[in-house]
Amino acid sequence: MTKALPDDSELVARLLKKDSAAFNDVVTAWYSPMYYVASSIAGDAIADEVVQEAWFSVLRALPKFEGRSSLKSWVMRIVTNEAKTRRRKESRSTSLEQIEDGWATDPRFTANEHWNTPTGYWSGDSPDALMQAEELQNCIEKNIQKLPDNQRSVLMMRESGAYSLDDICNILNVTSSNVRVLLHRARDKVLQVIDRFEREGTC
Amino acid sequence: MLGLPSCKQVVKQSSDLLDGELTAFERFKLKIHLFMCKHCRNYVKQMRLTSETVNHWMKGRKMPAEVRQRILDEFENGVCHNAKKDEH
Ligand SMILES: [Zn+2]
Repeated sequence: MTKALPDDSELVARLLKKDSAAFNDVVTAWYSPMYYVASSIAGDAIADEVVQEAWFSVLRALPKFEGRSSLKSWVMRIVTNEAKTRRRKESRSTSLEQIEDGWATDPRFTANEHWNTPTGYWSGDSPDALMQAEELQNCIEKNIQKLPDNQRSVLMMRESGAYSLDDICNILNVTSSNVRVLLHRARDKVLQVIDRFEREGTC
Repeated sequence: MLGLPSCKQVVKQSSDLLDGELTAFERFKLKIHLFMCKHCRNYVKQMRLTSETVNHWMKGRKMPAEVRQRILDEFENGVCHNAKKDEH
C-alpha cells in the first residue's frame, strides 16, 4: 500500500524536475501524519487546508532546501508553522493545569506507590495485532480527540517520528520538562484506553 | 532500598525511558526495579507498544480526493511561476 520513497536527494531532484508521480507518492505517504499534527494544533475543521497550504509553501521553498534535516522533518516543520499561524487563539486552553489533575491520587497505586490495579496482559504484542480489532482503532481515535490540546499536539508530533523533543519545545513554546510530562500523560492515557479495551472489550 | 524508584515512579519515568531521556543512573535503578517487578515490566512493555500503536494509527488516514487534486494542481501549474520569481 505505501510505496517506499527514494532517498532525499533523489526525491528533491525529481520534484524539482516536476515529476508528478514522485510528488503524488510523497504527498500520499506523509498525508496522515501531516493531517494529525495540523489538526492537533489548528483544529480538525481547517487541518486539510493547513496541509494544502503547507505543500504550497514547500513547493515555493524547495529550490532552497539544503538538506540539513531530512526532507520529511523539514516538511513537517513547515506544516506546524502553517498550523500555528492558523490556530484560533480562542479555541486554545492552557492544559497544564488539567494534566496535573489526578496524578497525586491515581487509583492505580496504593499509598505506598505500589500497584493497586496493575495493567492486564494484552492479546497482541504488535500494533498490527492490536489494531485487528476495529473497535479499538475507533476507541483510540475518540480518546486521542479528547486529550487536552497540548497533550494531543505533543503526542501527534512525537509519534509521527518527525520531531525531536527539542523541536517540540521550540515549536509549541513549552519547556522541555513540560513536553516530557505532556507526552507521558498522553501516552499513559492511550495505554489505559487500550488496557481497558483488552480487559473489558469496551471503549 | 538503594533509593530505587517506586512502581508509581517507574510509570512516571517510562515515557522518558522510551525517549532515551533518563540518565544512566536513573536507567540503572529503573532496570533493577523492572527485574524484580513483573507489573512494571508489563507496563513498560505496554508503554512502548502504545507509542508504536499511535504511530501506526497515525498512518491510517486517507487523503480526500479534492485535497490531493488541489495540491497536485499547484505542483503542475504553480511551481513554474514561483521558480521564475525566485530567479530575480
Ligand atoms: Zn513496580
